[in-house]
Amino acid sequence: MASRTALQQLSRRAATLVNVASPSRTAGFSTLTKVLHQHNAANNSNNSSSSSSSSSQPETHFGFQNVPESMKEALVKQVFANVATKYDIMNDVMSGGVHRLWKDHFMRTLAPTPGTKLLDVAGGTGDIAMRFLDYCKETHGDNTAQVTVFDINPNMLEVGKERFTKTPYHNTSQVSFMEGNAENLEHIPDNSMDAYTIAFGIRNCTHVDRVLKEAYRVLKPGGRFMCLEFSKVENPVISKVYDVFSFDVIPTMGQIVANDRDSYQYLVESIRKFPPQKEFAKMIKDAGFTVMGQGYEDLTFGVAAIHSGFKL
Amino acid sequence: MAAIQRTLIACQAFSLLSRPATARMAPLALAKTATTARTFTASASWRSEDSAQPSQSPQDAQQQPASSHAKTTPEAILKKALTFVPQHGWTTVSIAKAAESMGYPTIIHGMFPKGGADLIDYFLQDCLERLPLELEGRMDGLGTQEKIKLGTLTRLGMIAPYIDRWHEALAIMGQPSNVPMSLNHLAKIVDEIWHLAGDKSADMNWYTKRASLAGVYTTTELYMTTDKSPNYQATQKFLDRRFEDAATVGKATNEALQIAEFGAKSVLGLITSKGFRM
Repeated sequence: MASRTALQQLSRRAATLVNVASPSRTAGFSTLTKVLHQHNAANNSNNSSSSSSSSSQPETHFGFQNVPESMKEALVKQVFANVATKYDIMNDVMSGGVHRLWKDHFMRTLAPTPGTKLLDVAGGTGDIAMRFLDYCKETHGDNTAQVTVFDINPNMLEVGKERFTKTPYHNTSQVSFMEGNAENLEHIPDNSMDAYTIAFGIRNCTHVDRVLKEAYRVLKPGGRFMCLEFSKVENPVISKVYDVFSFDVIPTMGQIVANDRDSYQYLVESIRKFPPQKEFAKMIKDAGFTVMGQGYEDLTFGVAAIHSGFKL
Repeated sequence: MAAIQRTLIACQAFSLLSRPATARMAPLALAKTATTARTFTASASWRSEDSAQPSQSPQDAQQQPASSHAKTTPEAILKKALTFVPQHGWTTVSIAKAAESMGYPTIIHGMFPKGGADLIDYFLQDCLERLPLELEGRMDGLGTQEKIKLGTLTRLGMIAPYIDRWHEALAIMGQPSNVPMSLNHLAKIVDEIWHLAGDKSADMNWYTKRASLAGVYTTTELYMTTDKSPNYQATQKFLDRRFEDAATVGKATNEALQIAEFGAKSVLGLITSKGFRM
């Protein structure tokens, strides 16, 4: 019943935070709290009827807690609904702006050629999509490249759409938005994409293997899968500093800047639950991709890493 | 001891080579070939088909139809990319063109993040693997010096199809980030040539032999990129002169060593004569 205790703790924490939260952010909190309460209630009723039935559904991690697989999607959705409007500013605050350098490097590594068709999964706020189109325009003078911004979260997509209205790409065929689950890209045909990117998104998915399988399916032969994700810091000294920063500083900053401690607590916890570089590279290989060399590149001591695979 | 040393040094004495090699080349000077498709027809044959059709030379182009989507290897893409080098150089463009011709999206160039350097790396590795095959049976009955010369010429001949682009390759190989790769390949080239010549030395000579051949090889390679003479005759003569130099250096080193040895022995003798026990 470890999961239940942890959830109760989170609910309590959320409840105390609701008191200090500003009215505008309270809605988000109470929804997250409500979802967790429902889960608690369900667990309690399960326990009263039969003690073993609660283990009937496979569990997955949600930060450091365990939740039934069916719940993770809703919980993650709630987290990102909470953070959507403050997402970009929080990224700046948490990484000291370094996430921009990572994303720039990510795009230079992809080095799209004219006419590339990109599927940017979990790309809600359009960070990667914007860089992609800018790269094609600035490097090749190309305006035939196309990007589909795909996200499970309508709130995040709204932020992205809003952002594109101020650019020349608005209302062109170069950019389109699609809402859906990365584990099931049912509206995207097989062998239709030149490149598939997912930046800081894959760790939030319930079944990473299914995401990779779908990526493999929609990519053309010769297409490239690229993932930017937080990873594992191997250097013990930097790792200590990084731990203090993530578990003490980030949630506090989340509370101050975005008035939402729980969401950021989840974000840092989910980073630690994501498989380290080598393991993830192996998962990419297992999905059928051809991986060059070790298959990843560490950024900033491994705080983030770029994984890459090719469909041959 | 001195006798053994001299025998080993003699292995580096390439001067003997120059005369017969030049003699062999003399009649060839008459056979004028178009400068665009120059070949070595000396003992180390720079195969004419290699130069005449650089696009097909290194190995047969990838025959696999892209439409079949059978699993291709990254090497197959680089192999195909070599056929675009005369036109597009040692660049990502050559790789992208190759991918395109195989039916892949050009984004696949990301497989080779170092672009030209990755392509050169593949080419040098490929040359290394082809060298023993090209030399098979052709070294029989030759002296060590002649074997070394044949090996060097054969290896130099492999860059002939790309000679108009080879100075670019040398420039890329000289970039600081690529220097380890270049040195590694140079070491492999000279080691392979000595190995094929039957070298089994297991002393300091192992290093001096390779070092002197490395010097000869790199200078001749550089010279070759500017050589416009038919059949690269100038390069062959240049190579002969470098072998002579190497022999002279070897002799000089040997003499210097002998003097040093004599000096050291004298000092030791002097010390022991003064009653010190060593």
